[in-house]
Amino acid sequence: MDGGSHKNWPIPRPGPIAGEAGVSDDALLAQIGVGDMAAWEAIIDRHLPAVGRYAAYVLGDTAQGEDVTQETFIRLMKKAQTWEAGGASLKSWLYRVARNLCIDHKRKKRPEPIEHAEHLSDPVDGHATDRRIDIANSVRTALAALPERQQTAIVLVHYQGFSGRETADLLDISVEAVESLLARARRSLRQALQPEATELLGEE
Amino acid sequence: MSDKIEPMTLDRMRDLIEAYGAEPDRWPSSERERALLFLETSKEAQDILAESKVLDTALDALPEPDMSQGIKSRVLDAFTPANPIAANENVGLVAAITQWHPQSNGSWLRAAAAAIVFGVLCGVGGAQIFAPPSTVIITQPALPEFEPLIQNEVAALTLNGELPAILADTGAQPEPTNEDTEEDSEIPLI
Repeated sequence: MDGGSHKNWPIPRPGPIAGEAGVSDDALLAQIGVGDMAAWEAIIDRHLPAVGRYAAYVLGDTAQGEDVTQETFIRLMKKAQTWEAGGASLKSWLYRVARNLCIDHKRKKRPEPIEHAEHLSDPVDGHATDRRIDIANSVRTALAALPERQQTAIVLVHYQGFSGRETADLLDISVEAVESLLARARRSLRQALQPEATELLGEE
Repeated sequence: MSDKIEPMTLDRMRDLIEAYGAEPDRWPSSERERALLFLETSKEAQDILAESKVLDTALDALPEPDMSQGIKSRVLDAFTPANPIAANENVGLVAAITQWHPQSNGSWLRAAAAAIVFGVLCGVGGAQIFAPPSTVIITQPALPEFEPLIQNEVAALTLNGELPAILADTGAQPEPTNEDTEEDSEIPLI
């Protein structure tokens, strides 16, 4: 990275813990609070990709997801100096902030349709590529049509690998309520995606 | 320990699959093993699982978002290390400056601020502080072209808190005169 833009700032002594895999988020945040760039990068490497994917899934747009991710981490940077170790987990805090930002973002913007996706392309059959893009767009549209909490629950559990307990903590509801949200979401998605699902199964 | 583990039922199996889908890795770890055992012997559970797999397959058609390389750089570049002024907008000026300069403990700044305040007080009010009662201050003669102003306005200042008109309204300056007076203006202190 280009560190030139920071050369006028006092350079704090890097903490010996920054960058070590076993270091807790709380310890890294304490280092960030005193200006440790290595700790900042370690936190980014640890959490940014997952938060970014979450925001992109929820918003249905990678660029918008990156905007939300950037804002989420800027808020974390400001929060680091007053972060209380032993309180809420950083993972939970990040997803809460990202979720709220996604809600705000969705009120303002509509996602752009997928037009080019290299990972969906079939080098032999261009028609198959177009069809897969269509199906991906259908899934995205169906996800976007879900109520916000159902959508968040599906994204967290199906795409992000969250457990029911983790999702319940994030949404401040019981595990049973999460399972109810998931079941209702999957019913709606099944109805919306039945043709696409049958077609995909036929390809297997 | 006599914790009794509830056996898996078809109803619970259905609830699990309807909520978490057909992939056992998404099921709660505390129930996964029992659910898998139940699945081996229940044809109904297998049918529910197969139906749920259709939706899982459709959901998996949505590709994983491919984050750009630039996002990490953007977030890294946004880092403003040791920036307590931005982090705490309520800090005072002295505190802000001393926090910004890590070598400073603030004592020299406080001393400097106190010296400035003391100097201003002495400069403005020194005469009043040290002059005995009923003493008058003798002003120096002004330049001829400003002398009428001083005589008419400033010299009338009696230090009673009233702002001279010449200072209050600079747009209404009197015409200068050629009167040449050497008289000192006397300003009573009280």
